[in-house]
Amino acid sequence: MEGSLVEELDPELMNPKRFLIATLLYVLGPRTMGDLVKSLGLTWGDLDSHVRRLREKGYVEVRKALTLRGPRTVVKLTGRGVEEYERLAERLRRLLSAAQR
Amino acid sequence: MLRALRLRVCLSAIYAASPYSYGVIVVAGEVARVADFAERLRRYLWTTFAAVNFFVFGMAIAAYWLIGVSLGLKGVEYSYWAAGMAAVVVLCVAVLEGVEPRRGVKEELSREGLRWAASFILPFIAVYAVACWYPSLFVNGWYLALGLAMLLAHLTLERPWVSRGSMVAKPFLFSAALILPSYVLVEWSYVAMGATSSWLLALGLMLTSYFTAGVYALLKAARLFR
Repeated sequence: MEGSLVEELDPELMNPKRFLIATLLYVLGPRTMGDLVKSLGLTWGDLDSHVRRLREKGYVEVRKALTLRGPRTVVKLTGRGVEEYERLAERLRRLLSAAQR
Repeated sequence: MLRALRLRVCLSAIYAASPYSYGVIVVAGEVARVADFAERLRRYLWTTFAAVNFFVFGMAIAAYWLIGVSLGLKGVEYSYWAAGMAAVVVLCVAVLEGVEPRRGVKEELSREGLRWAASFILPFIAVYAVACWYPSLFVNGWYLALGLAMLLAHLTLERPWVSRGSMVAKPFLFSAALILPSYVLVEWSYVAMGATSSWLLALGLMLTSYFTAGVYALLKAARLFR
């Protein structure tokens, strides 16, 4: 059972950049693409490809929103995204405690 | 540097005995730490925001009533007072909207607006509906209604947020637990010292309960990082 813990880790979220995007959305709630670029220091192309990947998995939803500063693209973690994020954290904790035993 | 190298060798020796490679464990450890921090930070933000709500609403409401009474507006019709109060609440909500953390899936409750409205309107309607039989309720009924509103807000809003892990404190329940029993004191004050004294006592107790609930939420939030 312990051996399968590593394989159980979600490869989509274990990518460092996608993990950071998910973490920021998890803590601070929905953000615009501009916010994510500034906060994480990613390029627009990089962010776009990672957000697309997360959207394909159903972890985030992307919508256009009208704000006071004009139209913006807002990214939000879905219910499934939140579940997967918390599951990943739980599995990592289990993996660590298994390794320490 | 020698110390760091020794620690690294030590760690390598520990993890060599486990079925996982040293690199995987180190990365997993770092990711788990960030995820754990993210969970705590999220709870911290929502709990401190709840505390800020108590300070803002308490100060704004008390200021409104004290300024109104000190200007000698006691004789003004009740509906004007209520309209002014509604304006103060709308202003507070607008101000707090600007500093509120953005809602993720965990914080979204179905019909949240209805839950807020029902929690804070129904108790006032119920209390003032029976006020014609109990004259003291015309003066201090708002305090009892506020306690009931806090309890309803706990049941309909705060409890789901706590069970979903968005908050670590229950300031609404805490506040209701202070307001409802202390209503006895307000009633006693009405009989013993008159309407104005009991009204002022109710206002003071409201501020005390809001202050205590806010501080309690802040302390619970601070414990997340200790």
